[in-house]
Amino acid sequence: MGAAKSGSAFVALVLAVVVLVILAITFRGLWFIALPLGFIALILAVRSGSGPLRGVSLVVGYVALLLSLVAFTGAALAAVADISIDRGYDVYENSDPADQPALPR
Amino acid sequence: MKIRIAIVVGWFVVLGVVGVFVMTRSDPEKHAGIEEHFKYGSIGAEGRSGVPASLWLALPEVFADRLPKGPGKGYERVGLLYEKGKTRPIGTSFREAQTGMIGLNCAVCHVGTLRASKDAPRQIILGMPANQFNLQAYLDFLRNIADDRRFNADTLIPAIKKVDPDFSRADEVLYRHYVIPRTKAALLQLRDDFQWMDVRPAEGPGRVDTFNPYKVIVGISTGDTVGTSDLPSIWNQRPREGMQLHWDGNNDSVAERNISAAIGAGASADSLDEPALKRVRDWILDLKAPRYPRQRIDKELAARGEGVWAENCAACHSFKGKLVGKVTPINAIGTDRDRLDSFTQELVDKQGEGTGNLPKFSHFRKTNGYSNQPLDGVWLRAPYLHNGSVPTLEDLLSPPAQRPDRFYRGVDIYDWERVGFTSRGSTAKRTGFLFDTSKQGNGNGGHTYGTDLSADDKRTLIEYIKTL
Repeated sequence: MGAAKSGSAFVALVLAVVVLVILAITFRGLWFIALPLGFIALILAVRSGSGPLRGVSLVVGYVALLLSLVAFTGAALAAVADISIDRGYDVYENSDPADQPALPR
Repeated sequence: MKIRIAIVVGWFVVLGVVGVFVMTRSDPEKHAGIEEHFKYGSIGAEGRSGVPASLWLALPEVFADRLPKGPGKGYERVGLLYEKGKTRPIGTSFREAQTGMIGLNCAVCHVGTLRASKDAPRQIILGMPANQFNLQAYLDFLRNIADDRRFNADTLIPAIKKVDPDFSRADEVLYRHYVIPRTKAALLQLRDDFQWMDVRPAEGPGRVDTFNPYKVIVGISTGDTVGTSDLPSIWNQRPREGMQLHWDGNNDSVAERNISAAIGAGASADSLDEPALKRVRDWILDLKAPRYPRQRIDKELAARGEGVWAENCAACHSFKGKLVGKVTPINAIGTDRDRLDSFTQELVDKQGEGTGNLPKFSHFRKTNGYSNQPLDGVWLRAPYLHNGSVPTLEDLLSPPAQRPDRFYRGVDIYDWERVGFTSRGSTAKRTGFLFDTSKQGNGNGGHTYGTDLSADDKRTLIEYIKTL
């Protein structure tokens, strides 16, 4: 039982780190992956505390919890930001100024 | 497990509290003096149409080539006015929300400049039409940069750091991941929403198409109407209460007209700062129009002109006139009808519904002509007629066929001879906007009242009008 809990804490830790890496690289770009992964990491991190853990496992459990909280919150913010920005435009599509009409009058 | 659940719950409670604080934050820059409030205070436009402050300051640095050519630098090139020691021009406001935002306020359209001669110092006059401000050029600047390849965090953030020394590392993260892309999306939307402007004659400085933007907001077609008209003065509003306001007299409530103008400056029903707007409203009720320089008035001529005025003009243009503030039918006045036609019953109906996050208006109506305006401070309200198609009083008293069909506007040097702003000659050509009366909405016909007076009567009448 303790080994299983220790294992889920470790998985939570790995998932949280993966989510944080995704956010650091793409932020809004892959929020739809980061958000569910962050949620799973958070659930696993919470559940890993249901049995008696000591020593390294206990520390790993709390570190996983902390990182998964940060990761899930970051993924949620990325989702909110992306939905808020989206107006049907590709904000990374840019044209050369030379291709555009000189509108200022 | 209970401890972990408690940690998770505690985390989200703290986040929630911080989130509510951040999301509901709305602190406008405050100004104790009413004139400072008018020039730099917020009326709530930042909420709907504001631009993040640090970004707004950096845009002219990065996109200088996108500004109109002409005198000045940065936003001066679209006619915004800077006072010594100020980082923002008159007519802009600041509000601290999720991030600091800059919006426009009443002063952007109602503060103008005057120079007594080419080399004379510039006077800034509050309440006067912003004869130098080209709103369309400002909007075009924002619309054009939206999909410029330089509109990205890698280019903009270094520029922002140069103009805003307080720009922090946290700001940088926020701007990179949220503010810059969101602003870009909003400007792309602005570009598309205002496409109707691109197929109409250029508005030029001191003018605005007031109601076609409304049609976009409420979701009705702009059709092929051109509603471009002169920016008005806003002094002496108390005696105007109950008059038919706006050029076509479509609203008789000063308060509602003010709210409508605030929407035009970028506010919405949700974002409008009514107490701030009320401060401006109370102030302009009795704001006096500047007097024409006394030493430049021939008192004897002016005294003779009073009778000509009483006989030919006072009924429509004196505060006590029987017809002042009432609409003269278009068939009688005969001026360009585009502005009249651009305001439609369909728009009146929509304004009454409060669609598009507009307040519900109840005083708008469709009229069939143009409203007779009191002429207080008229010397500073040139060019004349609702569309600013006649440069000077002297020209206005000439038959339409003799009025200039092309002239320059947007020059703040006063023409003391013709009574209006300098509209011809090399200086006007170099710095002004060429106004062509043959373009749709720019017609300079009609209002032939007084055109058949004798030369002497016209001279005395103009001298008297200077005293108003």
